[in-house]
Amino acid sequence: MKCSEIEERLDAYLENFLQSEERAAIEEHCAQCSRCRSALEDLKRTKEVLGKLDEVEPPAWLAEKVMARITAKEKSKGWLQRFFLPLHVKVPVQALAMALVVVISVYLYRSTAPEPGDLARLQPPPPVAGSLNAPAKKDVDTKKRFEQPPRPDTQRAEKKKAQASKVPAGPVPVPVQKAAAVPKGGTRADEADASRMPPVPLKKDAISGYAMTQDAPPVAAPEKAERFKTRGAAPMAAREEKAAECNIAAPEIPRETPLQIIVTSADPSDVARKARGIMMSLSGKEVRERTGNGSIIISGLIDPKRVSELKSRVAGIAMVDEVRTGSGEGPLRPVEVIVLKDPAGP
Amino acid sequence: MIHILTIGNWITRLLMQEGTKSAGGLSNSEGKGSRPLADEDSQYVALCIQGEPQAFEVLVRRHQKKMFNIAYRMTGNYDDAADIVQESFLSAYKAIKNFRGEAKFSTWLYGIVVNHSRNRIRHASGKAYHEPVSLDADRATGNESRPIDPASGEMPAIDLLVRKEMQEKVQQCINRLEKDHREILVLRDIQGFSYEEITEMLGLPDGTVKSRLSRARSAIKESLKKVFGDLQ
Repeated sequence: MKCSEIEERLDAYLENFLQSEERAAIEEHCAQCSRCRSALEDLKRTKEVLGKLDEVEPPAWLAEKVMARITAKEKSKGWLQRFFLPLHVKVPVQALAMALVVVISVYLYRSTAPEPGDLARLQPPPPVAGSLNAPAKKDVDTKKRFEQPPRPDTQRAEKKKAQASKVPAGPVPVPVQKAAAVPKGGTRADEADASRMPPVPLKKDAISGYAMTQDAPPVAAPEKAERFKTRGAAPMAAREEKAAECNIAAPEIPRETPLQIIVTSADPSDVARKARGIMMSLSGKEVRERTGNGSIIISGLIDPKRVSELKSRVAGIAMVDEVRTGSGEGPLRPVEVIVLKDPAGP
Repeated sequence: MIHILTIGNWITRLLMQEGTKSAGGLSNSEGKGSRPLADEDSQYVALCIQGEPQAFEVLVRRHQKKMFNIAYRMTGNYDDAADIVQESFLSAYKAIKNFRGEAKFSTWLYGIVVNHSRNRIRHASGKAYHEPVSLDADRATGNESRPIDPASGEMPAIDLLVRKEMQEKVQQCINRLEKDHREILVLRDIQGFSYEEITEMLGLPDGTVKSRLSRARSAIKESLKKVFGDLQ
């Protein structure tokens, strides 16, 4: 082996990493080569010098300072942890909170939205207000809107309300029958026919809001609107509140319009009595008679299958001027026989 | 009567077994899947992981001297060494939950202090560590006040002075070495760690450690020969 190779292996020789043959070769070489022997001695001496370096004492305060810093860090960490949760806690908590907010929002939205029936009842009856004051097109629009299924949208209800109240004031005398025909199923032809008919005084029903017979003469629109508010909406709201208090559902209000058979007779009271008898004979329910302004109205509920029989039998006792097809799909259908006095009669 | 004594003994034995179980549970609670810690620090490490900082004080007091000496021999500066040791202990406390017990705790701890020392050397101004230091002009560093723990307490004062001076010169020779050579020389020839421990601390292969150590020894030998002349 050359000296350079020996010098490279001296360190491994000192650390006992070499095989016995290699060790023997190095020892043999060093015994003959003074330079390599000296290098080996220097290396041994270097290791000795380094190994004999004294240990240095750390400062006496070192451990205390370390512990003080750790304690301080622990305290601040504990304080911070209260306010800044780690991410693996924070994210699920925030997601849960978000879900909770959504659920509560949906619940509140559903619980505070008005019932479809309430919406319809709270509105001033568009037929009367519209027919009294608004132009024909506007009236149709109003009807269309009214006939749409009411949505749980309070803003819309308020808008409609405002629209109804904004109707310009002015006593425009419009035949009230026209309004009576409007609620549902009324056609333009019917309206035209109605305008030819003698005026049948109508009045607004407190419950349904639909125009019915009226005792008082027609009044101006603002007055009517005011009356709707006071007579229609307020008692209804009070009744519903009462029902809610008693935990009883408000009675379902029929949305049917009666079939009207309008007849004229020189002796209305006789015809009315006969008509009442016919209704009774056709198993009519809640048969009632009311009068007003020269007309007699017999109202009742009969089986829809017997409506045609009613028509034919009424036609037998008096001259039928008009038959207004109402609407209704229930087991009993509301009918009205309106007996008008024949002006040509005695 | 015999029955009562037998039952009493049985209960006592059971209680003792329970006590042993609970005490043993503490040391075995750290890290699933890792091999159980075999070193004397494992109990305190487990307590630290469970959130008891007082247990860490035992480890600090136990290892501070060794850590300080590693830092001091690597940096050659007493104050810097104190800072490094503090930072290393704080880092270790912060990361103690990640300690898996794959190596001895002390080896893991000394690895941290070597890293901190290396970073300090790297980020230092360079003047203190990298520029050649005059072997006669070291008094300005304030190192003369450091307490040395001499091997023999009965050494005459003159010998103590000579020894101290000699050791300072050796330290200056170490300071002039490259960073990599310095750390491996400190760990092996000054602190006496095994090759296995050094490979764990530095994260280097065994062959790299050996070759690097060989080059570091050659470098320090030349440096010492320049300072002391003949080493014989």
